[in-house]
Amino acid sequence: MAGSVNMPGVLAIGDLPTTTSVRLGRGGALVVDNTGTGAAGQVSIAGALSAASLDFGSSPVTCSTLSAGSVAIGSGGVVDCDVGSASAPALYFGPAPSTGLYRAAAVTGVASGGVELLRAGSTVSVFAPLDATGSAFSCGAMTCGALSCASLASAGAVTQPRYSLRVTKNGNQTVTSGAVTALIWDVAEVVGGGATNWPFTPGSTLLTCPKDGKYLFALDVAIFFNDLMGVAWVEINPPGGVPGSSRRYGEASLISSSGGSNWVSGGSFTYQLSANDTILAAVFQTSGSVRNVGISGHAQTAFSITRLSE
Amino acid sequence: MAGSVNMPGALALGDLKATTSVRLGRGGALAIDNSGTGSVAQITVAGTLNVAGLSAGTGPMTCGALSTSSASVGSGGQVRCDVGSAPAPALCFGVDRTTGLYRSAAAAVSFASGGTESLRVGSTVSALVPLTTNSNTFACDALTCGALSCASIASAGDITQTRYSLRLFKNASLPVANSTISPVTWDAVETSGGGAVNWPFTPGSVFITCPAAGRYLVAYQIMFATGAATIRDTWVEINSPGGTLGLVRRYAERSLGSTGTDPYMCGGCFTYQFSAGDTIGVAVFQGTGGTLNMGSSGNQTCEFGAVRLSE
Repeated sequence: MAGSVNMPGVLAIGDLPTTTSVRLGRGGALVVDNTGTGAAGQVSIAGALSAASLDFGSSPVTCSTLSAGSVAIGSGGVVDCDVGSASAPALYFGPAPSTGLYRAAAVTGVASGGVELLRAGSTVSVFAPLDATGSAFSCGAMTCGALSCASLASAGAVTQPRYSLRVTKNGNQTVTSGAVTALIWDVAEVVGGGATNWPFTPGSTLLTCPKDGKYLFALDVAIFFNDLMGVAWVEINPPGGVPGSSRRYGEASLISSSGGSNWVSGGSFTYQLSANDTILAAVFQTSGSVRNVGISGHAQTAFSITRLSE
Repeated sequence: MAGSVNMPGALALGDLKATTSVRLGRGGALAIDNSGTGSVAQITVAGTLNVAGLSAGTGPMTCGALSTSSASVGSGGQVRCDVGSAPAPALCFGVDRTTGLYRSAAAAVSFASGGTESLRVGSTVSALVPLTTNSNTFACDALTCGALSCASIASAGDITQTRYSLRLFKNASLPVANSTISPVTWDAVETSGGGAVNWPFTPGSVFITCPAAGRYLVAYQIMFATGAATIRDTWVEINSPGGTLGLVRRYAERSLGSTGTDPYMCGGCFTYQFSAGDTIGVAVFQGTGGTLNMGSSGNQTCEFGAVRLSE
């Protein structure tokens, strides 16, 4: 047929129950023109539409399931996935529909095997062990539970709970000649340290260790006057809290020959204490008379205990 | 009309001003045949194209917005997003267009949250916001951080930090007047055994200035030459007023008698919480009735050590 076919009605090709076709030659086009009136023209195909390429311009495309060899999004375009969940991430890879990315509480989550692993929001939260073995890790301030490392180097202070006690006498205590006498500690000496994490009751003779650790002890005893043989020492866990029947530490002993002056001496030692170990300092003198131990002028009886390490 | 219609011109249905349609029976096909000459044939639809299935084979498909309930990419295929940015990530979820993923730099993909980059994964993994493992363990090789706060530290090796210590001694004798509180001048840093670590010292000084606040262990030892069997008294003072010794509380004092036949050696130690700038001086006193040398003789000498134990 030469020329065109122009008809006002429907073009029915074949009797419909049989295979028919419409072919357009090269340069031909099927145009549905919506410039007229009535409902918008459309093409409806009950079967599949196959083409060497498809170009919808900037028009939207809606479909149920999209399968493609690859997908490329144009400049400024966005891939907008559904929200998804840890058990069904909106974006997953390969045959593992429970491992991928989704939106978790207004942030992006990463799920593995249906379980949330990582959440990147105002904080980055990891919900599984984080392993950077073989790599360095750098951060600002870090807060963690127990830290175990090969070595630790700090450019600043390494702080931890400290335990120390400095006690002194603010008056004199009488010491009977020939009697082992426990020193009574009147006050925590605030200047120079005082009590740090170490409960202390003024007037105590027994000091109770608050925490296991290696401690340094330093004892100074000022006893008045000369003409005596004096001894001062420290005991750990004295039976019944009474000195004189257990091992002595940091003992300082001498016969005074100072010719009218006070005797001031003491000792120091380190000891691995357990929590609740008790510590006592004792003095003994054989002048034959009652003597005072305590404070005189700038000479002072004092006792310090400092935890050095665990 | 029976049979086929074959025409070289256009097939115009209706007057195009009214609704018209072309219907193909079941099994029918609309074929665009490009076997002829001229420009490539195509279908142009101004309205909606409704199809039960759509295939471009191995060819490309181009469109504006694509909306689908699910999408899958074939084996070996890739989804190539645009670069995106933190405020407009190229891959996002739901209605939130400021939270998702984008390409933040060459070879780097970032997570954005509320328009702000939170995590960058590239040649390094960078968390740009606080990172928490929610009580999970964290393992790494080297760890570099700012302030570290933790429940406990267990180190298989040394825990090193800035240390402060000083060891001084006298390498010459110093005469001490009878019954006079006298300052000990320290002649030199004793390098063996530690020397001065982060602690400036001027040889010949009496007062030593604490370089950093902290809890210190102070230990000293004094040697007097042999003299009469009378009192020897030695001690340490902190912040002596006006640089004058003998006016304030004495620490680690040792006031003892000498045998009168041997050099007198004695010393003590104590701990003290110093402030930076505190001064430390050692004083001696003797009552032999004349001048008595202290300082150094043979293998015996006077020495002073201070070690910072903690903050």
